[in-house]
Amino acid sequence: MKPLLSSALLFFAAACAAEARVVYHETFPDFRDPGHYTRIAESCSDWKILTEPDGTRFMRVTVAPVPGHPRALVLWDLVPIQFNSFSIEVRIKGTDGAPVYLGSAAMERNGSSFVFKSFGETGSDSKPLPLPADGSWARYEVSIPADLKTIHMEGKEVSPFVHGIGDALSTWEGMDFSNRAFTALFLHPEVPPASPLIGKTFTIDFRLLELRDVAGSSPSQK
Amino acid sequence: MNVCHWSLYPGMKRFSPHWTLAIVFGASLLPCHAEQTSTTGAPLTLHASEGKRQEMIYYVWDAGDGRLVPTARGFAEVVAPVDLTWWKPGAIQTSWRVVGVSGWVGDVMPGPKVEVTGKPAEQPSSLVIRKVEASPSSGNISISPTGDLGWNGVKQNAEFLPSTLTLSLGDEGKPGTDPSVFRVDWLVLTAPHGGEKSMFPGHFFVESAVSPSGPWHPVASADFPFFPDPKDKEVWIPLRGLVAGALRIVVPRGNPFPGGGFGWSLGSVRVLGGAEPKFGLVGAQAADVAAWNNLWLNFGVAGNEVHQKFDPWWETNRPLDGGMVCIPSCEWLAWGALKLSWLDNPTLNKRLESYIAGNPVGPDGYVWAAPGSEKHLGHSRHNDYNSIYPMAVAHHYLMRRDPAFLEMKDPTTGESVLSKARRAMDYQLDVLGGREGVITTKDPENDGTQTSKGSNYWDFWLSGYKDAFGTAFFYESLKIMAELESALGNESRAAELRALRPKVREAFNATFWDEKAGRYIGWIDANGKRQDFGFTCVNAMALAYGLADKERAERVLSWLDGERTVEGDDSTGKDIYGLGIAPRVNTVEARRGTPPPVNTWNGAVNIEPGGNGEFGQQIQNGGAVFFTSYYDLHARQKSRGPEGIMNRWRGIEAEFSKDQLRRDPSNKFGFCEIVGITREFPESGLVPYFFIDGLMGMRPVTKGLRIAPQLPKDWPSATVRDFYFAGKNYTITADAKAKDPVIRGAEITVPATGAWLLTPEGKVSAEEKEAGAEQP
Repeated sequence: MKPLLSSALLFFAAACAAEARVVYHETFPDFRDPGHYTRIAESCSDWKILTEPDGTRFMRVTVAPVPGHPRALVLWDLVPIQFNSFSIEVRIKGTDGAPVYLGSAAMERNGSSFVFKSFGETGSDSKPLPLPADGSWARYEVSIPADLKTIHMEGKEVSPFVHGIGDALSTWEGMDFSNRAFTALFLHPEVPPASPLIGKTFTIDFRLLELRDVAGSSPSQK
Repeated sequence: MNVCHWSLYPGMKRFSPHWTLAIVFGASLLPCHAEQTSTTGAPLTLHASEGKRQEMIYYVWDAGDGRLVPTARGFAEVVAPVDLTWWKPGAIQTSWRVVGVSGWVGDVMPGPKVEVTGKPAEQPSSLVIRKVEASPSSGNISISPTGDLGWNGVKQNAEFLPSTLTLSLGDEGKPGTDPSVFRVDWLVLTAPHGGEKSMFPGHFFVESAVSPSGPWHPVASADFPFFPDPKDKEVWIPLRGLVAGALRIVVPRGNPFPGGGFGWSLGSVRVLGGAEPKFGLVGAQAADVAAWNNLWLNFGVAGNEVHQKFDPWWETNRPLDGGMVCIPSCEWLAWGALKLSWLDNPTLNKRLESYIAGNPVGPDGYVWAAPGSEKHLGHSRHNDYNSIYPMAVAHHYLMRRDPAFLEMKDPTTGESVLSKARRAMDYQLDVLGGREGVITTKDPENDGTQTSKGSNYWDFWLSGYKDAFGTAFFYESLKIMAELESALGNESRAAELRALRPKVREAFNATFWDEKAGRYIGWIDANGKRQDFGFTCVNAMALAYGLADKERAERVLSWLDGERTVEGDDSTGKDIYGLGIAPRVNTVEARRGTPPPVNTWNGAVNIEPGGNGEFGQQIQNGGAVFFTSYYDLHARQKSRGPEGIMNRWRGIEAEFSKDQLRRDPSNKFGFCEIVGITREFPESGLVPYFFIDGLMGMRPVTKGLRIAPQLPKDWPSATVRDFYFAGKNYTITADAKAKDPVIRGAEITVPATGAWLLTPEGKVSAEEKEAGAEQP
């Protein structure tokens, strides 16, 4: 009986497991100019596409945090697309063991922004963990809404050219997360304000960004 | 033009130039499932709308005759058109289904029943595919004359390994010779015959190149993630006159095989087309022919772009931003008329006419930005609208000769288009100081001082009071309005306007020329302060419109070319064209002004070093806008003759060959504000329009269409096809070998030298020069 029960449980678990469909998979192929859809800003000084010995391509961003701007921004412009989970692999170099954190946000097509838990942040009261300083790749994964920290609703127009930051929500109970498309993904490498890396540079590598849509999350899924 | 499209993070959203226009011009089309009729060989526009999804989608139409025709991507809530053509008569039941970019595929929805009438028509012909190559290589591939592939397909051990199938259309290519390029209209694909249908690629996009060695350029409209299995139907991908020597099908993600591995295959491949391209050039390299035609395709009619609202009159956001047709605001109407009036496209032209008819002209004669908005973006009056409006009206009428256009009524006031154009001109003459020769705005908001708001397209700069850009436009508007008035028999008014031009030219030079710098300044403010920041577009326009004499034109060009350094300039030498597409907008940093005469939008733009608007980081402060090259080419042609354009054309073609100018690079602040090519810059399409009014020298005048070719010696013959003038379509060729004009039906050939006149009745003769007439 035991093997049968085990098999049945396995079957049941498999049937219940949410099937994740990869809707976007970034390999930095040479047939696309990454400048079309990626941008760097806020304490980033350079970026380039490099290739690992095994052929895997990745983006290396040089971060140059300065006093008052300890946070950098790497931005992916997206064709408005629906996803409810994403992951990316990250590697830092040149930090001499000083902590570097990684946060993220995504902008919805309607203008609101979803701010997510940082790397290593698991529960509501847990704290972000620094990225591994040993030069190894770390995987950063986010699920929506499980890993949401804040939602900034669309901001009001301040002038014809400026939109302000809208109201921040810290609870989203009852909110419908189906049928939400995102137009940009923000990744924020960040050092503490008193970091020894302030005024210096280090690199952060990104590879295998993957956006996923968990089947069944969309009411109109067919 | 919008100086800054940015918002504060996290609400990072580029500002739409259409915000004042959305309600006025918002289209409201509904899907129609009623029976429709069509004629064989003629396109019928059908519509679909999924309506619910927030993400981008595309539609796959089943034409009911064995063909599937996909659309480009766009927003789900917008009604999406598709043009379908049938070549055999009969009753057709169409259907469509929607595909979300995240992989969601909708049910098959019934489309209209279509009754196709008429005699069987010929389908577009197939081009010879001379060679087919796969990457990674998968052994020999054969292709039959009917496109059937002998190919095992691609099989790889990972899902996200890109693979390609390259189709060479041109000659095999001998060393040192250029491959040929062809006009292509459709790429037709089928799944493997009799095999596993799921081998058809689930995600693929199409690229084009002049030759199989690249560089390759994506066809923005032909990118299909999660494409449904076509089963036994042909997939017809529209390419709309793209000019290429090779096509490439790129598959970024293989289909999973039941037995393991990932891959894809095709049963057949056909490329349909082969008609002569719109712009033909004898003696030119294939890259030149491809560049003129594809510049027009991308930025003239925006044919293969992604239009997020399924409408080429609206911008599309990154990362899919590309060319667009026009913007329905007065700022763009004259440029829109240049781009559209010569096209036999009733849909585009009726729309342009409706925007012209609906653009308000106030009781005082000032032309508004758009219905409901006196000011550009609600911010400032642009007095050059009073030049733009009559230019748009006159050019459009003289090109199409449809009296009904001039009589179109303003939907609010009932005033005719012609009356509004005349009042707009009167306002220039009587209120803006035109009769004295220089456009002068005394309104404190437009007086060019530090407290003003700017007066023209370059809305970062506080230009105003005596404005060179506005005066150059005024000078041109006098010319084309005189042609219109004369065409309408109003000779006294025409003479009055023509008589003013020498006075304007003299005043322009007396007012704006800086002898020490050897160039024209931008404006003189109400306090008499002369503002010169090395404005390249103002200078190019002055030369293009014939405001400069030869000596001054040469001084301007020697500065632009970096042969001569102007004291105090920050950009000199090769750096002036350092962005490749056009000269930098200004060669003196805005911050050099004391104080800087610029609009920082309440500090949103910081022009100091390290700021988001520092020199070279902002379009209007050291950046570049592509359309300046239109005036630049004209300036060089006018000053130096036909050969004078070649260096700049080579520079433009070289930039285009990199990425087809699908670029909107980010500055170091993440703001895509360095160059203006895509999105809300439909004026980019003026650069290929230079083929028509520059190389071919074709522009409408009172008595008809003036054709005064200016062909460089390397291009002894040039042809424009499907040129619509006065109700007829022509193919017009300028040929160095021709001694006299020749008319064969709708095909007209004129000698490549001299000036010729095509009358509205279709006759061609040498242009008669009237005594005292100004050189057009």
